[in-house]
Amino acid sequence: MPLLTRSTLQSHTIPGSNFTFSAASIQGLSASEYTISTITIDTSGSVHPYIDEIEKAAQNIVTACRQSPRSENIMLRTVEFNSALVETHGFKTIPTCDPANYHKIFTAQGYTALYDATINSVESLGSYGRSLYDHDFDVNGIIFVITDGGDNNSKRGASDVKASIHRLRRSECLDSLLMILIGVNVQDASLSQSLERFSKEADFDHYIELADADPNTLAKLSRFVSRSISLQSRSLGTGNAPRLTF
Amino acid sequence: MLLDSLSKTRRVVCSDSYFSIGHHHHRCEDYTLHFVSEDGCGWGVLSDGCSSSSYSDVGARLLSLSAQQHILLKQAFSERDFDAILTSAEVSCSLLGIPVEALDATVLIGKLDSAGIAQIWGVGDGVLAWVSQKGEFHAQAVRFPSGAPSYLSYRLSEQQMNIHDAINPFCEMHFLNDSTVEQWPAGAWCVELRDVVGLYLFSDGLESFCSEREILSPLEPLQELLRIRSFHGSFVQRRCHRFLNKECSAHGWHHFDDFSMVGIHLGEVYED
Repeated sequence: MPLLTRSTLQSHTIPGSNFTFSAASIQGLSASEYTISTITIDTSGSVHPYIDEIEKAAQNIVTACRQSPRSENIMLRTVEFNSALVETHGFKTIPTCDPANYHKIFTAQGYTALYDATINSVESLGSYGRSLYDHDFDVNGIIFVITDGGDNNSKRGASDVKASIHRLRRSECLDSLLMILIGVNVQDASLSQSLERFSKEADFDHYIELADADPNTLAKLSRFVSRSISLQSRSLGTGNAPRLTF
Repeated sequence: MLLDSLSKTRRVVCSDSYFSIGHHHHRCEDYTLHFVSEDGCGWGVLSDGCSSSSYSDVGARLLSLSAQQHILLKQAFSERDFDAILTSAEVSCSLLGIPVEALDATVLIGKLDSAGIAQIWGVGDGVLAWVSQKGEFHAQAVRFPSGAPSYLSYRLSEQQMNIHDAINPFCEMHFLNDSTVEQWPAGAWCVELRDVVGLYLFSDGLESFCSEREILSPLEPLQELLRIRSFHGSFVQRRCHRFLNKECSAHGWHHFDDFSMVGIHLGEVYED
């Protein structure tokens, strides 16, 4: 029998799809407003050489977010994707995220279902954001999609990603939404063009390209992600998203 | 979510409150407090200061804080306790060097226990609303035909009490559901209710909502404000914030007087 406590994440199914996600029970939330964020991380076979650095970056993001004065108003969902999508954890408040839980959690294998993973992240955030909005919470959102390769395994296309992002923006349940695509270890010109094209076609707000995946670069990435989440949280209520610089 | 038939639930009271300055005011003279006492009862205190009395924004806070302190010490409240609240607040005024006219304010106190019994004590005007266990909604507005409501501070001066009694021989209790009106004592009043799951108190600012053309019936904003879906945390603040910032804009409504709301809800939680 499930033990119903405030820390239990509840499972949700996105209407009209097979996508599911988990999230903190709305009944247990004590703040009036939330920035709901998602970090969607490519763990396809190609990231194997630096999977430990990726995990370290995820830990650093959580650690930094916990130090934010707005940490009580930030929720984070972490998802890894390769041929399949696995939810590392659902939407939960930053104080309940433990950086230690990110140790040895990712397994680098399989292909890159980049488009499907992005759609899952957008629609999950949109579904939970709508639930929060309907319960009088003020909400904004920010999604990071971190990949080292173009899509080669999705069932849906870049135009479907764009459609899901536009649906979410039009729904007006979010005060604002930031979509950020991050290319890691992009050393190939054709990959760079492919990701830049995807970013434009799908209507991401930012595309950030990292030429390598060494510890310093990923540390900078962690700082950028946590700072961006904090800035988005501080802009909640303004109707606008902050300007981000890497 | 499938629940084990042996799961136990218990009734828990939660409370929250909100206040906001009116469009025509420079200072917010409404103030609210909410808390749960040791015996698990939910309490709310609301005070609306007279806008033409100096320091009444401070006075509303002093009266509310005095009421809270008194209730937490005594773990109870009755009409007789209004005098003790006033005395305590008067001492605070003296220590702060502000005139006692700062205490020209209404005071509404609401209590809801885990058995669903609600009590409201009041000096002055305001609006009361409650939701029964059957889901029925009731509301009544306390009004003074003279336009000058009772203030707790009047008890400090026999002359002021005489003036008050002369212009307010009674107050009117307007039952908003069926538009009936009753005459009630003007000085202090008390309401006791049973089978209540939600108790809400409002200052008369609820009666100051208007559109471009007309002043609205309090039932219109009231029914919107009571559409609360989640009763955890700052549930009144969330509802008021959404209503005032988005829904009122959409309707073209605004409130010219200070607005305040207290909500006390009786819900169920599962035993761990």
